[in-house]
Amino acid sequence: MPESPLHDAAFMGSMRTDMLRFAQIQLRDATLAEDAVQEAFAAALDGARDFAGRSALKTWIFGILRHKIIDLIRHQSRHTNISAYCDEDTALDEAFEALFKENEHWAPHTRPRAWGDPEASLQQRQFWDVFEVCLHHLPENTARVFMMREFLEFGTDEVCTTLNISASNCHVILHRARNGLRRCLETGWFAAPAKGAPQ
Amino acid sequence: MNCKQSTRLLSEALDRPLKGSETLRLRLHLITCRGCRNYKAQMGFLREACSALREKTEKTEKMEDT
Repeated sequence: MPESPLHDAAFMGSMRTDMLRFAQIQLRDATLAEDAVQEAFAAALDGARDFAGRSALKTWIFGILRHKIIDLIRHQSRHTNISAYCDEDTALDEAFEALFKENEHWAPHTRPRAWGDPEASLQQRQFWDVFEVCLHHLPENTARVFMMREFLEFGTDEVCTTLNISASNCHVILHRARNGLRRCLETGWFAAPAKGAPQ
Repeated sequence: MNCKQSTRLLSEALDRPLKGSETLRLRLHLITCRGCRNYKAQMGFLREACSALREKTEKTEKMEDT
């Protein structure tokens, strides 16, 4: 019988790295991410049982981590006003407004152009570097809402309830986040001269 | 419908089911507006990329090993 993955130090180490990355992408705070991972590990080891294999263990432990992250977000949202509007949000909105003519149609030079074959980018490591930088550039509260929706894959209702914001506010914030991300990817990747350069 | 309203609905369509009248107006707008058609595809790509990022982070094998 193969040894339990729980005793495979190399595997547990690499999983820890992945968990930290996962938590940091969502929480954007190294200390909080570290806490969430520690707690998830502790809870996982407490309830340790036999796993058929590494992926079963990993799925289980990531499920625990996800809950820890949600707890932290829920806790934070009681002390901060997620819908509070910061200067960076204003800047994102102004940049978006600037794309339109007075009649609120695209200006000729800002009209969105096709991104070619964007799926091919998903295979390139440099794309993911740009993507994570762009996520990180989103204002904190805006990113929180967006990441809960798109990274943790919560339903919109769950996001609103957990963060205690109205549905319409939620839609405004998600639209802002997507516009910010779209613009950042456009300038940082899809329209960047170095894109697709031989590695 | 103008382009700014269309972008709002294209984003909201990812978060809630649109009403029949909204879908209809949006469809009519998209027929004549290439910019908004591109925007729509880009919104879909953002979702796909976030989902891929999640999978990539959770997967046991690192990308470079596969």
